[in-house]
Amino acid sequence: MTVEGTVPPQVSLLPDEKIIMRLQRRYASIFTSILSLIATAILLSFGSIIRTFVQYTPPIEAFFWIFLSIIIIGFAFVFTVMALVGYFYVQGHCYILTNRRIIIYRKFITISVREIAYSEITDLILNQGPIARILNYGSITPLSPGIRGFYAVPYPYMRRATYSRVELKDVSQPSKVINELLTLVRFHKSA
Amino acid sequence: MSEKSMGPSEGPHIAIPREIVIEPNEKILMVLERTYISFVTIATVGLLVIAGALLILNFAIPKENQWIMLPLAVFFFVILPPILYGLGYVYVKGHRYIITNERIIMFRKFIGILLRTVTHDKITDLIVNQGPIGRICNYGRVSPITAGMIMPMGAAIFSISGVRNPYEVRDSIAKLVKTKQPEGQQN
Repeated sequence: MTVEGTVPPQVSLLPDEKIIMRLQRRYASIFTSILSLIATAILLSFGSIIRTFVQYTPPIEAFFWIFLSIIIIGFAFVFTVMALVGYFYVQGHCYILTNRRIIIYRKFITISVREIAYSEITDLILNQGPIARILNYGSITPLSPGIRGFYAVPYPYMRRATYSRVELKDVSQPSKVINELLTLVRFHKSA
Repeated sequence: MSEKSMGPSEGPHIAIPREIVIEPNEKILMVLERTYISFVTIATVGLLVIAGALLILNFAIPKENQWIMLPLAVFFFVILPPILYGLGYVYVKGHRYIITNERIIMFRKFIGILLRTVTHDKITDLIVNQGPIGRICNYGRVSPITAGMIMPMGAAIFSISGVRNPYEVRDSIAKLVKTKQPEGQQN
């Protein structure tokens, strides 16, 4: 959590706008993304794996070891590539809390910016997975009449996918951040 | 955090999770817990559905393969229920619903953490749902709906689920909504 750091050129602040907090996505979160991707791959290919083994003619032992080696090498390759690419992906995330609005910015191949005024926020959702709880990071979704609850469902396979970034994904100390956000929302409501 | 007034299903010593921060000028009006019976009902219905499916399977599969029914029955009716009801207890105990003079906080801590906070002035609808067992045992689900948290999400996942005296909870929230919303915005 910091106020230092440069503001991306695509983000323009108003003359009287002051940055309160500048947040970054945590790199550790990329590893949970890799784990969930591997879990999805296993789930999707489970049927095919069983079918391959059932239909294969003996000797199955040699086939099993080749199969296992391919799987391990494949996962290791995917893990390395994702960890490398993930570093740049995570660095492209920037969340700016000003005294007027939240700016959610992501730059990775494409650019996506969401701006939301505090007065338009209806709900604040905090979502932390088991690993995120241990490492103290989490995602905060500020909902508005335009971005609704379907984007904040805690179950990954049920969540509505979006091309743009709509949440403050995997930020450090999420309880503190959500509390700060609530204070800003309350201030703007009473102002 | 120290000021509390008694609500419909509020116990005198219900602790507030450390993840929730209450503002200094915010007053806690109610701290609610989820009732265990609300989970037991869902889990039992699930087990009954499995029992029905196994019964159908028993008649459908050939006689020579019927040996599979014994390990399946042992798993679903001996091993699974204690795990399900035991984990369910922990799941239920992880729920806290805090109503303050400013907002409603819906908190669930089970493996992960899920927290929804909504200020009273943003609530557009209040929905109460009670199942048949809920009607008998007097528990239900109160769903505060906003423009951002519409049906069915607002009524299913992000709601005050399985609380005692749901109509009293609804009335308490409705009063707060009425006092917080401007005259023309009230339902």
